[in-house]
Amino acid sequence: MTSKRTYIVVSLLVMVSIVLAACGGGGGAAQTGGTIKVVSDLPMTGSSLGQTQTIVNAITQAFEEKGNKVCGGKYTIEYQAFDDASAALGKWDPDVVTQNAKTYAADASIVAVIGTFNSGAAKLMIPILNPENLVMVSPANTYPGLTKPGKGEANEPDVYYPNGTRNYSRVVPADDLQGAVAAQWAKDLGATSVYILDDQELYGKGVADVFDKTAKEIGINVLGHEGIDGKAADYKALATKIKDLVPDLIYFGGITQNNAGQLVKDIRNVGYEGNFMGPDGIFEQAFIEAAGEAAENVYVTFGGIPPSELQGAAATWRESYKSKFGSDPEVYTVYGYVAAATLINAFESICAAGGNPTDRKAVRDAVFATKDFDSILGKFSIDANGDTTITAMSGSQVQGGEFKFVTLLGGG
Amino acid sequence: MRPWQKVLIVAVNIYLLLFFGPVAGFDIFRIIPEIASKPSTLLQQLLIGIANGSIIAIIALGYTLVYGIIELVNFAHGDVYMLGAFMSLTIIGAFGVTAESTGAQKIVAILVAFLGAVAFTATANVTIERVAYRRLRNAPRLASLISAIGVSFILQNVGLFWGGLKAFFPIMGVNAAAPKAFPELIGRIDVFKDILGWNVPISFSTKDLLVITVASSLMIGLRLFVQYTRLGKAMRATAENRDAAKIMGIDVDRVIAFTFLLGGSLAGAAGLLVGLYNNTAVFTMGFTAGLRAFTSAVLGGIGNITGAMLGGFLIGILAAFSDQYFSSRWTNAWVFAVLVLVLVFRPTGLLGESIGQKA
Amino acid sequence: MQKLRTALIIGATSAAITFLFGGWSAVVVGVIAGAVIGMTYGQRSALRTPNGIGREAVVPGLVGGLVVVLGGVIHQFIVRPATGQSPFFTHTLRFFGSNAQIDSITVLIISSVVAILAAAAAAFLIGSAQGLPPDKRNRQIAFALGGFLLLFPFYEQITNLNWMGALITVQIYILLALGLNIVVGYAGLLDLGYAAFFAIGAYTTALLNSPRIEIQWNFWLVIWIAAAVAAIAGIVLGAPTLPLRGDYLAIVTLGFGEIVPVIFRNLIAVTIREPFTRFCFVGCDPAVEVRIACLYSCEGPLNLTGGEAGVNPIGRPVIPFTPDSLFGSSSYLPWYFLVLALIVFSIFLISRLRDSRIGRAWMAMREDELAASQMGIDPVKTKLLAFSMGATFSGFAGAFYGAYIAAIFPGVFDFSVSVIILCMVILGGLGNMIGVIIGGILIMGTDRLFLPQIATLLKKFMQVSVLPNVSNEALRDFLSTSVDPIQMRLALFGIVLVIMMLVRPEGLVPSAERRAELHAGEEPRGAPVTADEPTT
Repeated sequence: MTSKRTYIVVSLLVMVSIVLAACGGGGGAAQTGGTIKVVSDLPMTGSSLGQTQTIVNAITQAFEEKGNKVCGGKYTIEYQAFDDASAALGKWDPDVVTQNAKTYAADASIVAVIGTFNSGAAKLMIPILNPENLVMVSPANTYPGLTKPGKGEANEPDVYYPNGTRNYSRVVPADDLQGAVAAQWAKDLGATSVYILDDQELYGKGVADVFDKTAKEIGINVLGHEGIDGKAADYKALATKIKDLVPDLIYFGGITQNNAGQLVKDIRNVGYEGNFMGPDGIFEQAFIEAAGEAAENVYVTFGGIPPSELQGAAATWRESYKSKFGSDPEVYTVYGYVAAATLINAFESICAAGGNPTDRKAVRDAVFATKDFDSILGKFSIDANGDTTITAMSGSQVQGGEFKFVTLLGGG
Repeated sequence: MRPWQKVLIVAVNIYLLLFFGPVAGFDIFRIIPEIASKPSTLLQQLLIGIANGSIIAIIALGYTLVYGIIELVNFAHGDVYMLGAFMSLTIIGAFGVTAESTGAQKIVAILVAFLGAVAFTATANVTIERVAYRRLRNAPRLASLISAIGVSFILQNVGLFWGGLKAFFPIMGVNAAAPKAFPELIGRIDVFKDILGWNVPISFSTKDLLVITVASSLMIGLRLFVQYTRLGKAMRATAENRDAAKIMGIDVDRVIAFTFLLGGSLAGAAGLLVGLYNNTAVFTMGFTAGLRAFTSAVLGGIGNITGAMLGGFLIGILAAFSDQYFSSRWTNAWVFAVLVLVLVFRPTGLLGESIGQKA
Repeated sequence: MQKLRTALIIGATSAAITFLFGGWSAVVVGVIAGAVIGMTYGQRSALRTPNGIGREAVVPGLVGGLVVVLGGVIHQFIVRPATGQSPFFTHTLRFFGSNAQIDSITVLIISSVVAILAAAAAAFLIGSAQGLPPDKRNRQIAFALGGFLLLFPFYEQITNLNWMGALITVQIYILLALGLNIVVGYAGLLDLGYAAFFAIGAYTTALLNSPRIEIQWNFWLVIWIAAAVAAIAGIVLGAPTLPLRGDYLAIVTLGFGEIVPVIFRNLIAVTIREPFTRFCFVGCDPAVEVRIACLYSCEGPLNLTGGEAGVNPIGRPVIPFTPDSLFGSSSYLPWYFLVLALIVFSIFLISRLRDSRIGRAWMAMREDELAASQMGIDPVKTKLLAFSMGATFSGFAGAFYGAYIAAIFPGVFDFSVSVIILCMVILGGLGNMIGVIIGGILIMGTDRLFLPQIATLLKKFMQVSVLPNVSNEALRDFLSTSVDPIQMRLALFGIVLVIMMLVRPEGLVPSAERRAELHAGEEPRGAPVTADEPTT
């Protein structure tokens, strides 16, 4: 039968051609060398975009300020922003994160990842990059369990580090600090009773839970703890309920994007006159714009010193960012800049020690060896867990449509 | 099903509700004393629910109109409403009015914003129909559903892009994706306390009154329009049987285009109204509001104008009660649970379909 | 030329991919384009002998391959420079541990030649199959497809194409779409909350194979439990919808789709008390009341689902006599083959179901419920079976997803997921499995592969080729800050959906009945490869 023969011949042809294609020209060209590839892994589709876009800007800016070169021009930094969201979900998508992580793991030229933005995404990415010794510097993850033993679930954080060596660091203080400090501040402000709200997301709920726990410990009466739907049109019903309980202070764990502005408006609209406090998720101009007049007197905590309060280099950075990108930096923008700066610092220190900054292990160790690095947020080190040593928190209040620095909180 | 079977099912469900309800905040042993101790709260939440329900209802009217006539769940409707809010925000921003402006300035700005938003959304809706739905009218029904979903995605992105145009419209603020603030143009004066002088523990502001009035009058107007005008009759005829309507000399294309025009105008009006009421516009608002509105349209009996209104009120009240007495974490679940329950007992919604009933 | 028009069209469509990705993608795209060309020309051919048809398809195949390759060439020499990338660079080849470098021009030449040849070969293979009797034809196509699917991952890995992650996602969604197709396509019940079953499957896997509540059963057992739980959920959630029709049914399923994630998100402090004993009458002791009344997690509330933090980590499958790390996070291959096996298994099962009594009952009910029930079909049983069978496959998908990601979060099971799956089913062609699979590949491929690539390229293009040439400073400022192609992903996705629907309203591969309905009076040309059996 001719057809059968042809069939076999053709199938063989296909296979041979595929194998040929695969193996063809195994001859190796010389390593290009001299290029350090850094990627960022942030959700660039959907509502987080407002923040992530500015982080990408800041990272680009940090590298460009060095002319994209480190080690006296010997190495060129190549930066690429990856999107870990999908259009289908409109936010960070677990399987895109997994896919990205594997891409980074496989691309030997990538030596560092700036990310992730969402702590849930970090939970997935760390275990994949850990065996590859690929370092992560997160500008935004605040879930304590990622690095700190005993702060999250029982098996955290070790479960994320299968090869036993830490590869994940962050330049932003974790929630356990912020929530606790906020509760203490609430007490200092004279609050004896609080009502706690969160936006039902990992970050918001996490920080609200810590606030809840600390508040009970230090003797504040917690009248209730509710979650809001970040997409609802308004919160008048909930606000009415809270007003009737007359708490001294309402704490909201969440971000601007989850309708913090509307929440404050409605709380004021129903006639509540007590205090309102939030974490750094609402420490941004967009919150004041969204909440309008209702934002007045809102208290906000923030890890580190707010950029507007910083002198010297930081003030210069703020101005140069503004002139370069035409808008004020957002709350996490500065951390994006610091994350990039931390990496540059690590590369430089490797070169200074005569090492190779294209080696993942060396970069990872160098990041963890960051000591007294003089950043625009002040001097900090990365501790053995991968956390920043900046524990200074600042408290700000909205006055006249702007965040005004009020006090330093906790830490040191 | 026999009557005793129905009774049994209801009894079992009530028992299960008492059993598992507390997990989702429905704990009658807590709720009943709470209501008894402060009954005014119940009334207050009822008012809040009705005000919120009015807004849902206005959007639901748009769904119901379009559905009634071409049986299309127009997923893009919510996003047209979002664009209406953005358009009015842009116009109000261009006028530069704020809460401190004089009454005349505010009125002019609101009027222009109303005309602008309505004209814009009506045009947009008709264009969408022309481009994305008309060619699919004789295709399988679900094809136009997917097309509508596609349009919804596009419009959301348009909203995001629009929100980022701070270079042209400073009112859009620093962040493209962030919620935008509408200036507070309508004062929040308490009707009971400040106008009528009653000393009651319930607040009911002029804003609430405004949305309820506008929604009710729109509904009645629409009802009358569909019932008595020539075009309204043509709409009903088209809904009943498109081919027969054509034979009777009705320009079906024009009638459908007009329906979209009407639906779009309603969405634009709703966009402005919500802007004035909640003082916020964000590019994702259409999708969520659309979902609620669609739900209330079905709850009332899709295609039924009064039903959409009733469904909107019911959902608004339910959500307010859930926030107050159950748990706001579970509000969404409760809203849909009641929807399921209502539909199980009334399979064509509370009032049934009135504009053309097809399988 | 007229004869080659179809080949040119198919080639040009496929060339869009090589235009975006360039390099090694040409071979894969060439094979696919060749196969499609072979199929089209084979079905059109007036010849009878397999060889004759095959030979006839070779030239169109070559032409199609040529167009595909042209896309790759354009990518290398026009797209790359325009986006600021040099056309001359080195590719890395990976041979399971050892790497080799190869320069881009060599890659282009090799992949082009191979792509053209492969396209012609595929066209011949598939074209000649069209001349065979149906069973042999199907076998030949199955062999060809099987060979391609088996070889592709190795090719992908060696050439570092980096499509595998997206491909596994596509496969998960195909599995979901196949399940939804039973409900929507066969039984005609519009389901807008299918993600609920996906969530139920995933959470079942998560709870039974993770440290969460300290049950860690074997994946191979759990996947069946997950499917069974999803099937039961299908019956439970399907039961209230029985009296409903059309869009009322759709909205109730949508409701369940909204309720289920809320439940999983909020089951973080569960305590269940028996209600009636709580009517505490005069003189009763509250402590005693609690002891009697509390039925579940009396010691303290139970955190069942972990809330927004999700369940993490979830155990991974282990195969005896292989290293435990086989299904790890380092390699895609085992996952690819596992989900491929699940799909093949599902297709087999669904096609048996479809051709069985139940399947015919579904389709009869879809066409006319009243008539069907008069013919002795029990609508209650038939509908519930459709819901539960549909849910079963999402249970598989959920179990696989949980194990693959090793974590689940309630936010993944949004309404938008239900909508996307529905889009696949409708776009591909309701009631046709081949269509549903193609729909899944197109939609998820667009979302995961093409849109990110288009957005990245456009952004680079803006930066490199547009912005420096804009002299007006204000305009440049505006373009650089406000017009970001990456932000346009949602719109691009929407445009793709609308255009696809406008071009093919009945779906890409409509089922035989649907085609007959839409083109009543027209004689269908050439039966589709695995057309669904006519039912009436």
